[in-house]
Amino acid sequence: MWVVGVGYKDGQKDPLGKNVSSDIAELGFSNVTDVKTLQTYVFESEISKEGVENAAKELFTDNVIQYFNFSKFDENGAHVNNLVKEKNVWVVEVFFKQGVMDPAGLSVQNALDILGHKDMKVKTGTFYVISGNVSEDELKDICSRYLTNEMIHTYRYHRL
Amino acid sequence: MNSTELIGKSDEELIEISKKFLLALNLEEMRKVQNYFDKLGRNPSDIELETLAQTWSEHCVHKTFKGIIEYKGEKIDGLFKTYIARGTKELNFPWCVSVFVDNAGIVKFNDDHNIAVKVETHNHPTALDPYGGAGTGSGGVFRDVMGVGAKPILSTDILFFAPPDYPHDKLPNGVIHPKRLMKGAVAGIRDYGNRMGIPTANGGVGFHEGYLGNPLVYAGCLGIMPHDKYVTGAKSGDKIILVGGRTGRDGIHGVTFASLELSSDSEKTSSGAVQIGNAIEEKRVLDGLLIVRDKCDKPLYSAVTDCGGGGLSSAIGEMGEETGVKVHLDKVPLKYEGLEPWEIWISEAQERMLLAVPEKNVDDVIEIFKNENTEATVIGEFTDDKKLTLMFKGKVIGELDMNFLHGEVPRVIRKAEFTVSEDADPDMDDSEDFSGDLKEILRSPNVASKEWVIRQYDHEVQAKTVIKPIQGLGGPGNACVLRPIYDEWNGIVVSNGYNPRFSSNPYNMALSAIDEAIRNNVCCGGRRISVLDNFSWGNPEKPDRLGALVEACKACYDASKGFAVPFISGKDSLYNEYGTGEDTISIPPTLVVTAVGLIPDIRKAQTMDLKEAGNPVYVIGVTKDEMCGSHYHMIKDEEGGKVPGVDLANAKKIMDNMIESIDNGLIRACHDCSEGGLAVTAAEMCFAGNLGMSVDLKLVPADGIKKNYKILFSESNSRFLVEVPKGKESEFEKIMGDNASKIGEVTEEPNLVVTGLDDEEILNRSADELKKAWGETFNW
Repeated sequence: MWVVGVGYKDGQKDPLGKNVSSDIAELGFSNVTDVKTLQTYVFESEISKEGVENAAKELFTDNVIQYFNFSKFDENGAHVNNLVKEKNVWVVEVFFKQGVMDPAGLSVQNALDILGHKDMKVKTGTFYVISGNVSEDELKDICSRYLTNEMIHTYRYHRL
Repeated sequence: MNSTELIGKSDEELIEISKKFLLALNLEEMRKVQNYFDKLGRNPSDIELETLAQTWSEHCVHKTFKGIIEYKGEKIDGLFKTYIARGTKELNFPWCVSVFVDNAGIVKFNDDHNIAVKVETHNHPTALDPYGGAGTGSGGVFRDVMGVGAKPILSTDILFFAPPDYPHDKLPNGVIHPKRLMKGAVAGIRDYGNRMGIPTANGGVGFHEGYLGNPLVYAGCLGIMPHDKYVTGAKSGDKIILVGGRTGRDGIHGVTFASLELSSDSEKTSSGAVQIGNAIEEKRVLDGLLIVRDKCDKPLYSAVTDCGGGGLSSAIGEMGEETGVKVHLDKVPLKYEGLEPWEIWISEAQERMLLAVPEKNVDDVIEIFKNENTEATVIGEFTDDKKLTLMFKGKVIGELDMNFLHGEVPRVIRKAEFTVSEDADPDMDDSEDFSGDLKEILRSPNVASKEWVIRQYDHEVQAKTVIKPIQGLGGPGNACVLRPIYDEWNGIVVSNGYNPRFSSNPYNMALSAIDEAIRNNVCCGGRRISVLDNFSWGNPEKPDRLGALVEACKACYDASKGFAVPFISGKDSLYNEYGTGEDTISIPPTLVVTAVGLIPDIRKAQTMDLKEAGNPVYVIGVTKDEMCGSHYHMIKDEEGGKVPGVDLANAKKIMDNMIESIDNGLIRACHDCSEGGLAVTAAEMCFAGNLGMSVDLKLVPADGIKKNYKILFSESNSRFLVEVPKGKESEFEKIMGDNASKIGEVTEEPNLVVTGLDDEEILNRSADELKKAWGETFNW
């Protein structure tokens, strides 16, 4: 399994990250200094490294303002080290729970079909990269009160 | 066939069974089921019990609105029949094509086309996940309109939340903060409507602390269709074709599953109580459906419906009520393996529709949908045995008589009580300067600019929107006007009304909502109006909640007759209570009325922004001492007083006269007086036109009121503020009679200047300053 993360290049505005950042501040977490976001695509079917790179470049990324990284998907989340370049940050991985519709994932599958990769299974998610002096308890609070909805999401976090 | 022992069970055991299988059937209903199977000499299968539970649920049969209610010594034989449908029946307008029976209400538009319209609530799913809940609410109501064969051309959305600045530390556990709810719900509606290419051009957002645990989402849709394309009635021998998305465990007994933790290997037990919508799939279904409808003279289907609450079980059960059906559940395309037949049968997976198709057209229909990249599958056929027969892999797994399923739901009998306690209006001291109060009301979330919401919705797509939600230089419109057919000038006017702040007197609250919807429509030039009712209420098993509902329904009948506007469709969402055990808090009873009018020439449609200095300004209607529930009382923390009522005879005359004036070119700008009263109406007209207005309160007909604040801020009904072209005064007054009073004029200097009862100036503020106050609340 492969995973691709797409983020905004330095100097480009990350609208979702900016929005999340100000909403978190409003919740009273004044220590959060910045939030960046990565749109994430997990290939759950077999595909070549070239296939992943091609899909990332042609499908997922606006090459003018965005960059992408990709990595083998790791059950324990080691792939975040390859996807996120920042240090001293929390990274929260958010995916839909199994059984919840992932329309973006379906669209990706259709598009991959056109690119010649038949019968692929892809799920989409979001990674939040959170900077600032935030304790683990505060992070859990941010996750449950703002970043995720336990009805539909699963999440886990890592310290880089 | 898995069967459940019912025969010979005691009452306690029947209740136990209903609870164990989450059937939500009461004892009387369980006894009826027991009796039916007793006669057959066998026990019911699990899928038969599920079918009965779905078909007899509050959601599908509206037990409360059809039940018998004892209220103040009278026995009401069905609220729906007695108060909602009766007005429509008595008015008996030939232009009502199909009311209350199909997925959407249908009225004539012109000689060739009909309008189909429907409004749904999607409250509970939105409380759990605002983005998915509100989005699938829109998706569902679009399918309702598609489910009569119409093409959706307008999406409307009315939302209610607790105040967005609600303190985070007071938020109860498990409740999503209102601001996050609002952002999520708006995004859900935006994405579904925008992605399907349906303009969202009418709606509203209301706030009250009572919505903290129960936000409300009313999603509406209006569609248009050639009148000869409306077919209904599946024939014996027709095939059942399921179109669109695949079926999963979506929304099965949603609420119960919602509390289970999902894991990667628990697909067996997992379920999305809430689903993320897939607008692109629904767009493909719509495109295919329109081809199937229009390819030949008559549609290739003989009936069409959508899969909503209750899934296949409700939709197929209703389609085949007159004929009988046989369904092969193993033919239903699945998202993943391992679903039990009963799960397939009641799944509420989104983006699915059902067609009844004569055998000769089946291949054609499947091919058309295939070309649109969506699946269409034959899953059964209509029979002539008046039975529901469910098959799985060649075996019969359920068989019920349609007559029993649909005809023998026991009626509930409920008690209701309600007393309106109204005191005389408290008299507060008048201020010397009302600019502070006015700005505070302009800033309050109910009144404040919703531009942040409106601009996220595409209200232009399809290029039919003539009068838009934001008018002039940025003022709140009264209604939206659509021109559905490009080479004709006639248009459709859509507006809404609600006022949960008046719910201490539910009769007047309902009258006010209807009056507001109609006057908003009239503001833009709408006439021949029909209305839709959508009730969100507390637990109807509590007599006071039900009493309030009875009062509101009575008002619906009276207003329907008084204004001569028929109700054509509606929906109720009950049990909106929050809390645990006995101590639950109901939402404020909330009736949303959607009005659909026609305008023969869209070039005469009116907007609310002031147009030209020197023109006289008139107030229409009487301002009364009715301050209860007003925004002025809200900012002053005052509760007493009277809730505004409606003088139906005069209100009808006002509406008719206003339309005559608009048709004769006697109105340049027109805005209704509602939240915040005359003062807010005047302020909004000023800053939308960047012109000023001088108003003399002595000239406002006010029923002998001696206080400036009451004239400025009373929220009495049936009132308008109107700019009349200079020189047309006498013509206008002749039409309006005693109901019009000249109270001032439009000024070049863009200030709102008000002179009080004692001839002193009590308000003088620039349009800019007022607009700033109005615009800053939702500057997110």
